[in-house]
Amino acid sequence: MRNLIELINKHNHFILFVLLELVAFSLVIQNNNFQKAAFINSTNGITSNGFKAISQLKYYLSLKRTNDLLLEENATLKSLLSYQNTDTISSSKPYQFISAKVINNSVAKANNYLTIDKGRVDGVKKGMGVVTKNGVIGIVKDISNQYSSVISVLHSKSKVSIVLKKNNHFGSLQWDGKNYKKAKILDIPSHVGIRTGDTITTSGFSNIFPANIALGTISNINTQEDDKFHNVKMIFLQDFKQLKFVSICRFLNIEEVDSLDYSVEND
Amino acid sequence: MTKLIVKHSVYFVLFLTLQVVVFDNIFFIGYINPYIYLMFLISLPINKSNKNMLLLIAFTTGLIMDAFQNSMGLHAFSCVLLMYLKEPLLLNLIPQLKNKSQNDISFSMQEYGIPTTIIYTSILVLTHHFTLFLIEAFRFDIFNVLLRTISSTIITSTLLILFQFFNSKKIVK
Repeated sequence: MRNLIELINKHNHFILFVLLELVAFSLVIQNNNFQKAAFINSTNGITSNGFKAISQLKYYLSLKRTNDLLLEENATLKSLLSYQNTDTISSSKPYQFISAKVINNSVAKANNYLTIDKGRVDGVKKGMGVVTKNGVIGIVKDISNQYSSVISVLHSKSKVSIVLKKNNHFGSLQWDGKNYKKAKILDIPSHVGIRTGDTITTSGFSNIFPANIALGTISNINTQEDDKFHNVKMIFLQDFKQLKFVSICRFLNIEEVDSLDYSVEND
Repeated sequence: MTKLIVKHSVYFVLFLTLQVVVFDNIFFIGYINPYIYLMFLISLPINKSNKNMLLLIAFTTGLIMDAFQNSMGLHAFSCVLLMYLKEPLLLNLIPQLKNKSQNDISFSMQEYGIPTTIIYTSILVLTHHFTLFLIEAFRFDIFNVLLRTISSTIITSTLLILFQFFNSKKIVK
């Protein structure tokens, strides 16, 4: 026993080093669990207030461009509204949107997250989808009262269900971890005819994102003759570096669909 | 002693604020994000009697960075490793330090020269960046990790060496 204490005493520096590394590493592992809550993240008080101050400064500096963006969006909304007035068959869209401002964002890491300024009091829940008019942004991971952190599409574990707009063949989209402008398209069988420039939209299968949001266009096709699936890359319509405003989508019939899925699975 | 504490507290606040406010928003060639907060860790004096304190400081600094970057534990891991390697590296680069009896050994450019500073800084930054990108990537290819490590190390080290250069000139005046 005395030898052991002596040993610990002698190497206490090394032991502390190993201990701290173990703690840090277990934090990494814990945080890597998809959708699992971490207690220190960008939604807690100090960091989110810090981000808020920084984002306000940045917001002020880019007021002019924001203004242009808003004008543009206003115009498209107006045109949509007029279109809807003439349409007699109104399609039922069971989604409600909560608009939010991005207060922190990253694109350069292998796993990227965003922080937005809406939280529990605004009705945000874990697992809700975050979109803009130019595409899918991510899924809400953690919420505090006034902020939420979002797993970006630019994350090694994010997968989005997509369809080819022209023929409704579905597949999925995954980021390759390198360039924030591009992503891989998986699971489209190689007999399906595709061309560069084809538009890709959300499928709406997941009940997280609404259907028919244009995500991007196919940029290069690299399918070999004996491949079962296409080897395709696409370019995002949304510039993830320029994100300012996003919408959180709330699927209104979520309980109904979930209970249906549940009863089907248990048959 | 008090002077040292005040100086490094100022460094701590200065470099972490700079990192979060300015440098987290800068991306050279699209993805190189310089981590200048390492200057705080590198500039900390080596205290022979209380080395454990340094590890704890490195761990805390790393955790604060993690909270801002949403990368739980990544920076903490790399920072503790950097701090642990700092003393052996310094003693290897400058062997005459072993005979010094004083308690706090601060690294300074004008005392040890520019080549030593460059080697010292870039080795520490390289270790930090390599572990950081390796753990972050986990499932991505090693080529990508190496590319990121080397390009980021060059940028971060250049910034840190420039800072040390201007800082040492100020003292000479």
